[in-house]
Amino acid sequence: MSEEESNAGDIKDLQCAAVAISVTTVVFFVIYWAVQINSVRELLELAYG
Amino acid sequence: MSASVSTTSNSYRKTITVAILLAMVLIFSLTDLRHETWLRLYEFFLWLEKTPFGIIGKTWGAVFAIVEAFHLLAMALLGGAVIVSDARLLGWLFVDVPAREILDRAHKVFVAGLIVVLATGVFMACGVAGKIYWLPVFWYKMLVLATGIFFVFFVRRPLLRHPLEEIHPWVLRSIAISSMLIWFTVAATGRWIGFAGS
Repeated sequence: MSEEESNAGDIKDLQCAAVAISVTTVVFFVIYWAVQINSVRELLELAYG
Repeated sequence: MSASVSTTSNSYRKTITVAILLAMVLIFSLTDLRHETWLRLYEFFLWLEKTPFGIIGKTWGAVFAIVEAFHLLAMALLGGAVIVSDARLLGWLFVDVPAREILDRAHKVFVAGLIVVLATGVFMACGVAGKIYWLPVFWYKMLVLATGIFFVFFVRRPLLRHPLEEIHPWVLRSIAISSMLIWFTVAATGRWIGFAGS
């Protein structure tokens, strides 16, 4: 395998890994903060009606 | 055939590692393993409070406050480096400066900020170990911080060492957005610890 092919493979691998982490991060971020904001909203409702 | 499989697994080494780690975190989170590990760590957190860092942090509020000030300044440094490099990747800021220059310089600042954040963070954690052990937000912060460090040094930085023209523009955007989300969550959960459970 030439150096150019190896380099292209490396970039492809890193791009796949980056997309996997990015998608997981966005999903986690949305779920985590939605749950936290909802829990604060419920607490405020309990406290102030 | 086996040579072909071996070549494929070699060329996707990082993707496979990420997939395995994500699966492990998922299994850990959704099974009793998480609760069992948390229970086992109780003694360790009690010990943290008894270390010299823990005793100093608990006894002298002024020392804790000074260390916290450095922690926050380092977070600002780290956050600034993240915003500058990610905004440049997204084409929002400094578009007249070569991206390579900004990415390389911002990474050096990021590393310096991260070292100070970790050093001061360990000291602060020792001082309030008995409190943070019970806070779910602390564990979420540790999870996101570990993810952030892994993401930067295992994927983001090695990928951005390649010429940016060779990287798909949407991958660059997704890296920048997820990086900002990760470090925003680290900072926000960190401040939350300060207000929680006192």
